[in-house]
Amino acid sequence: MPTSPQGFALQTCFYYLHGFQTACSFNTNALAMDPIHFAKATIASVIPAAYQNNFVQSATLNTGLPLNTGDLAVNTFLDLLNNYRPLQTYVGGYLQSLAVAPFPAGTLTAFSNALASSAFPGGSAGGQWKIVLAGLTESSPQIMPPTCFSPLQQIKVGMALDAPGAVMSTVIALIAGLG
Amino acid sequence: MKSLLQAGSYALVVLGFALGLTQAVSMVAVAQSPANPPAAAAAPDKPPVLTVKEQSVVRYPSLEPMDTILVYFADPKQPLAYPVFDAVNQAVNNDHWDCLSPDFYQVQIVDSPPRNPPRKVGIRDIAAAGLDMRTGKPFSGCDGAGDPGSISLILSSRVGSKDKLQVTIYHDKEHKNVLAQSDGTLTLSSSKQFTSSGTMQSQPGEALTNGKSRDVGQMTLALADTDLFRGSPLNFYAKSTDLFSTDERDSKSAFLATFGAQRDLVTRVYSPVQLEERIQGNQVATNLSAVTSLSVSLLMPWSRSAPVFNNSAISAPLAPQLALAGLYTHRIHQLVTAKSPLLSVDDFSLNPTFSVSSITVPATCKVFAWLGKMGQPKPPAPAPGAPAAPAPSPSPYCVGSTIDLGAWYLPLDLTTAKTQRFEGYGDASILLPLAGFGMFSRLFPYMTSSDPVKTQIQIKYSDSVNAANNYARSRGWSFGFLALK
Repeated sequence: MPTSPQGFALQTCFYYLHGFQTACSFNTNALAMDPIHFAKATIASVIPAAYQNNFVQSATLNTGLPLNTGDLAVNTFLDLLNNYRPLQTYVGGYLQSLAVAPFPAGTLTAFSNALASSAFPGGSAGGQWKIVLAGLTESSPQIMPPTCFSPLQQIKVGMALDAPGAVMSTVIALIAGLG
Repeated sequence: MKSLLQAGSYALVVLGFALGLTQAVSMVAVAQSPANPPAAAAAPDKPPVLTVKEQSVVRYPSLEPMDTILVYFADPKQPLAYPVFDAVNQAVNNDHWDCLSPDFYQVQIVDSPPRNPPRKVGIRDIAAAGLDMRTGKPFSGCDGAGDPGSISLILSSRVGSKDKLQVTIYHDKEHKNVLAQSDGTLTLSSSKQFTSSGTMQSQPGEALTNGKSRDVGQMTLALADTDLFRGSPLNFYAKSTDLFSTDERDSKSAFLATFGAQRDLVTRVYSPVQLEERIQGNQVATNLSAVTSLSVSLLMPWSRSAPVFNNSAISAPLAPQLALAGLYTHRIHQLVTAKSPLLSVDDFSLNPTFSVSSITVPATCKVFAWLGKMGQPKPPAPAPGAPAAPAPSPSPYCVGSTIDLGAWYLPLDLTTAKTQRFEGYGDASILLPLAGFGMFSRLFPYMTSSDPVKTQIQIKYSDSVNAANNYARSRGWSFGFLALK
């Protein structure tokens, strides 16, 4: 289990996403999808109207979220997750908890607007950012499923982190967008 | 990921907790961040705007429908700003603050000031939304790291469906320092416990109780009050479903008035117990009876039933439902016809039922994949050396089925052979998604586009008995198209 409460909170997002996927037991294709493809699959293509109630009941049991069929009007399962548990907020919280002082003691709003270079000195090559990557991808069990934060996406995020004048909200949005 | 799977299956075990909204709020185990500044110091002059939403909730174990407001701490509407999230996570550092205590919240009806001054609405309970994946139970308090992301405020007072509500969170029980406040525009549009509906139709060639038939007009009426006594440990309800005809001999005419009370038997499993009194008969009461029933239903725990109902052979998204009802019937009037013989004045019956819906048979997906390709142009052979085209995805929708089984055991009602009466009944449907047939997709693109089970062929066999009509039996096949908008 992740040691920090923020890491656990972020992992819970993917636990709920998996709960949505398990609730699609009527669609064998959806069950077989890897987490990133399921997260970005359009709900209308996976859940036929006839199965919406089944999905809502089952997903509510799996996650405890107070879902209803009206929630299924959003485009993707990632959007559905974001409606109840905005991934960007929890990614931000996790990054904030691992940033250099004084950011962990401040607010997420302030951290989100901070320069990436001040939150993670050394950028993607810095020791603090390596701790972030290790936490997201290497700890057991992983906070994010490997396909939701692929090596290619890690490079993109690293480039965003290293960009001159980059603010943390850009980095947060890139990770929360999954890829 | 393995742990996610394990946690997911465990979450299903705690069905009652998943829907439960009655957890104690005293067990607040918070993981505080000691480095965070004190809450009071961070309280801004203008409080952050709280995002709130209407929510439909049935309270366990009383099964009482509740007016509920979902309050977001992690705000999905403000992806780039986190004022409420920050304020809540900092307030956790205040040992006296509890995000699951009603003392720190206020709900007011704020419409039309100053003519109608704000009126407070009572808060009965607060429940965290979402399961704690470590325990499989709802979160027991705010941890300062973003959990729970939202909470449900369960109101104890009734509000009108047009009342505008404002939710305020305070730093203190005295309600002096505001932590966050909603914009005061929320309405609970579904906040009504009484519903009614009626439809009128003409029915050509309707069968009459005298064996003849004629054209009649019919009106169906449905009335329901889902919560007669608010705040009771049991849910009391009343409803009526009727069909009135222009001809009193219409075999379909029916009157059914129900008064009942219900409560969940076991909090961890959906297991409502119902005591009901029903008055049923036809519209002129030539057939009239009073039925007292005590029933218990059980949605089988998914952890136990999943291996049986969700495996490689069959796949059901939900557990089957079992029910057992004991009915005492006092027949005040009976309409004796050729199809419905005279029954005893007093009767007792046991009615076990079993229903399972939306079963699919994964093996049939391959058949549908083959049917879907029928008539489709054959893909061109890949050029020598070119990579092979990816294999087509198998059809996700297969042959579906629903099954309902039941029986009436009537120990006091003897047959002509002087044996105790037992009437079994049931129906089974086979559902074939039209999109699975390639030729239909080309002929009727609208009926099969975007939603593979929008239109299904239904083949149904039913063998039913009508308890409201002296257990008259009817059986037969039916074929049709089930179309969803």
